[in-house]
Amino acid sequence: MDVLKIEPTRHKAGVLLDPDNHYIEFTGFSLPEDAMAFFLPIINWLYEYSNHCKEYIAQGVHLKVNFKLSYYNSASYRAFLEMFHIFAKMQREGLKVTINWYYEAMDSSMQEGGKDLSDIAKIDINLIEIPEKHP
Amino acid sequence: MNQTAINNIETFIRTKLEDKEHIIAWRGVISSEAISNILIELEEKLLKEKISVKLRKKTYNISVECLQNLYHHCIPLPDAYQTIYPGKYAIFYINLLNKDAYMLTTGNFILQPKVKSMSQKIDKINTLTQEDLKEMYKFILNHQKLSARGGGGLGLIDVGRKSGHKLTYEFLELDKDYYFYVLNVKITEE
Repeated sequence: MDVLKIEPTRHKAGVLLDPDNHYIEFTGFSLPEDAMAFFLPIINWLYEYSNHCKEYIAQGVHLKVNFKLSYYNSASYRAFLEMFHIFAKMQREGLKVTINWYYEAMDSSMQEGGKDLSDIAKIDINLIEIPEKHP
Repeated sequence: MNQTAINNIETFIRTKLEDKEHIIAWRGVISSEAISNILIELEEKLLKEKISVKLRKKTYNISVECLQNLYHHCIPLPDAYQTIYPGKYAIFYINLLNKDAYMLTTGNFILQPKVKSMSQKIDKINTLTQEDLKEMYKFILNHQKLSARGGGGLGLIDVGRKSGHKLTYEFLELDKDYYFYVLNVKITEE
């Protein structure tokens, strides 16, 4: 599998999907109007990654996922849920998965957003408070 | 064309846009680029306001959803109206109610049959408690197809949830087929 990297823009998230280091990261503002066009390649990548789940379990792989977002729209949030379902499925199959969901102090909406995804997809996450950034 | 109806809509828009106490007052063709520019301006304006982080974040979040609702649901009018209201014409502004509260307003044209369904959708949201809205949001989220472009009213429910206040609306008639749909969202820290 190849690395999938998308540089962040002012209103679109930065994305890093690294199969060699088993590391996934989302950063910045995730506000695409056409969320499907943006997230479909990412979700397809994750499905392909999950096809290798058994071999990764045999290798003792630990998948680490970081969501370091400032804002997201509801269309992005729907895509995140799809990803969380994939992570949860891999975890149920036996893969070690850690999801860190970062939120800025006072941003209860971001904090709650992470908690709700965790509840719906039934996968534990780490909610990590970081100092406030602008805006 | 019904000139009285146009005058009525224009008076409404001008009254709102000329309000001195606004932080954003925009009218034009809604597009991806327009949304981006509005959000950049909004970011700068909100940072200059002496408001809490929470209110700033909430205002930005609700603005994103409202602008994207405009983008997805705004329809262009027939050719006869294109010189006055070109393309996917919309308005977006945020008024300062007092030092701790904003009123965000959007306006766009919709087809007449949508008037009833939009009213019902908003009335339904207004009858729900915060907990009900949260459950409804989670339910739709979990059952909506990934390919949906924000349909199912998820964006509007999110706006109702984040606002925490009753949404208000009105429909100004343009002609028998088209109405100008105005949505008001109150934003406070709590």
